[in-house]
Amino acid sequence: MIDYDSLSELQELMEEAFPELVATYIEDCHIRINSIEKYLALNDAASVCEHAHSLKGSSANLFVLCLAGSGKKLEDEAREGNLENGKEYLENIKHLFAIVESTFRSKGWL
Amino acid sequence: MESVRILIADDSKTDRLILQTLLKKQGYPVYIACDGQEAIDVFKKHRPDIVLLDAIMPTMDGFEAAQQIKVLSGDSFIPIIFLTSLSDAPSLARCLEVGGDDFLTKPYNKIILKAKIDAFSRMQDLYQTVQTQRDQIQAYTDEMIMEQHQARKIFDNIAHRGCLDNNSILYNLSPLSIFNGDILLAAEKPMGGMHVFLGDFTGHGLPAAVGAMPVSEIFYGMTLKGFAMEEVLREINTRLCHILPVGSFCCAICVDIEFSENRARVWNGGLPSGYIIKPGKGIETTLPSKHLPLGVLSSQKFKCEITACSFDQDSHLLLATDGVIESESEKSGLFGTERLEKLINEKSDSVFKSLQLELLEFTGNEQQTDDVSFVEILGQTAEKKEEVVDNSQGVRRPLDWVIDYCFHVDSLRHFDPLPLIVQPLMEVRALRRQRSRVFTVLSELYNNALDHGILKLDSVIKGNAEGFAKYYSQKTQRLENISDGAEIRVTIQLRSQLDKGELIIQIEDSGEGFNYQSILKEKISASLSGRGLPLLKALCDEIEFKGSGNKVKVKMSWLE
Repeated sequence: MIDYDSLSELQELMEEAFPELVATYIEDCHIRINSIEKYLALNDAASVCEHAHSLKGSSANLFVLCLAGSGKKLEDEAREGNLENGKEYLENIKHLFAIVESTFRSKGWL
Repeated sequence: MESVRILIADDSKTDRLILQTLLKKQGYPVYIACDGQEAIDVFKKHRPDIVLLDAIMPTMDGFEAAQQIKVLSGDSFIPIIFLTSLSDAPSLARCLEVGGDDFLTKPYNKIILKAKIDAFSRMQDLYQTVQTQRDQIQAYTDEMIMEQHQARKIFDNIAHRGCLDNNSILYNLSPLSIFNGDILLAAEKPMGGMHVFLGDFTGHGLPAAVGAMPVSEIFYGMTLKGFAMEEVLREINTRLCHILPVGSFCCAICVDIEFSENRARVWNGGLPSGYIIKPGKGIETTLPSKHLPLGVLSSQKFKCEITACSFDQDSHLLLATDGVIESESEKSGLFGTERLEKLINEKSDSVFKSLQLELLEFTGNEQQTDDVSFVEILGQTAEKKEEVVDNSQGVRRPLDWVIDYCFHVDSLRHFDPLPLIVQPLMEVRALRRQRSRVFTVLSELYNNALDHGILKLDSVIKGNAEGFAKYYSQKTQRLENISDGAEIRVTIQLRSQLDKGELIIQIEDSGEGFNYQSILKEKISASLSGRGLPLLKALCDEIEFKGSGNKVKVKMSWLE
């Protein structure tokens, strides 16, 4: 679900900037998830796609593979204009994100 | 070396943060932009050295930003590296199409990142070096062309254009031809007729141009002073032997056209054959190279043998450097002698124009045609008085002198004293303007003294071509046998004031004289008198025979 090996390499790389990165990531996720929820309600596939793409990208940056995967699925379907499973993906993303956030907190990164 | 400054354009905060941290840790100054539009704004403001660009961004995506940044980069090489997790080939291809130079795929690896940036930085240095050198070469070339134009101006000031502007002379010559090694000179002789010189120096650029200077100076100077073509060529050869480095020389063809005698005398050393052309008929005489080029043989070994051929008012003369026959076409190879001669025979009425057109068509290249040198001289109208371009003022103050010359047997046999006698007279401004008149008078007087006074030749036999040859063979023979005491004495007296002047020439030969009283009384026509009396009378203010007729004195006067 999270590639801890790669993430700890990234931590070494970032050194003192790592906490800022994690904080930025969590904050960005909040924004993206809220945006996805909003545009799903408006049935705006293009915007959903854009935010899912960003969520996927930053999750991949921090090796949060589960969120990157869900984000990609939503992005791909939204790009096709298909929002049928949007709600389902969103619930899944929220669920995973809650776990990730609490995990990071428990590691003392937040 | 200054650190490479990097612009990161990415809409993802985490991306920016990671990249920025990595790059800053490696010591690169970093600028940040959150979308394509901002990337362009930051680029304009800071002119970074390398741009890292996310492909998919809101407002303006990376593809469009890349195109605009490439345009803004102008002449500089600003590498654009796309940041991408895209794995599909069409998107990657599009990154390159819009001007991207490389990709960087996530997750970022600091070693690869550094390696790429260093590689591009080196490439950029190399590119910059190439740009700088290109600019330098351009600057040098510009400077050289400018210098050549200036040198050409100086050259033109030193060597006047002779009679090249005469409308019976058509020529194709690059304005900078002396730097291609080609030189074309033409000057009218003081007694009528014309010297033409077409030369081709080995080599290009400055060495060729430097060689052209003395050639031009000698050619114009000596022709103007009445020296024969042989003497002019001999002097040019001697001078070039001294100044040109070993292995450098000047291929040349020189022609002395005697319009009044329907004759051309030719010397060709190393240039392609010249041609005497009869319009409507074609080639009449081919003038092939028979000698080594100028500047090869030492003055002792240089023999100036001349070929004479007929050249009347219907004749045309075509001279060309090897640029013509060596013009190249991608399709047909070299232009060649055969093609040239065929053209002359087929288009004998308009050789010059036809040759220009055919060369252009053949090479398909205006530039190349420009660099080819050739000249056509028309017999019909060629003899026109050249305005003597004379920048020097000459002496313009009162003068009063007498010079006495005395020529003994050996000089009478081998030496043409006229240029020597004329030279001090050309220091006088008023006489300089009447060069041709002075020359003609002196020449008539001297030849009378020698041919008739001393050699006792009878000019009546010169009436036809056969007699002409006989006359000259007699002259050669009698010159060999002149008796020891023979001499011609020339006395030149000049008196000039600011507003007027007079020149008195007296020539005395050691011959028996002639019955001038009867000749003067009988009003014998010029052709029969043999002493050109009517001509002398027309050119001089006074003419007086003395003694037994072996002494003649003429006076020319002028008002300023």
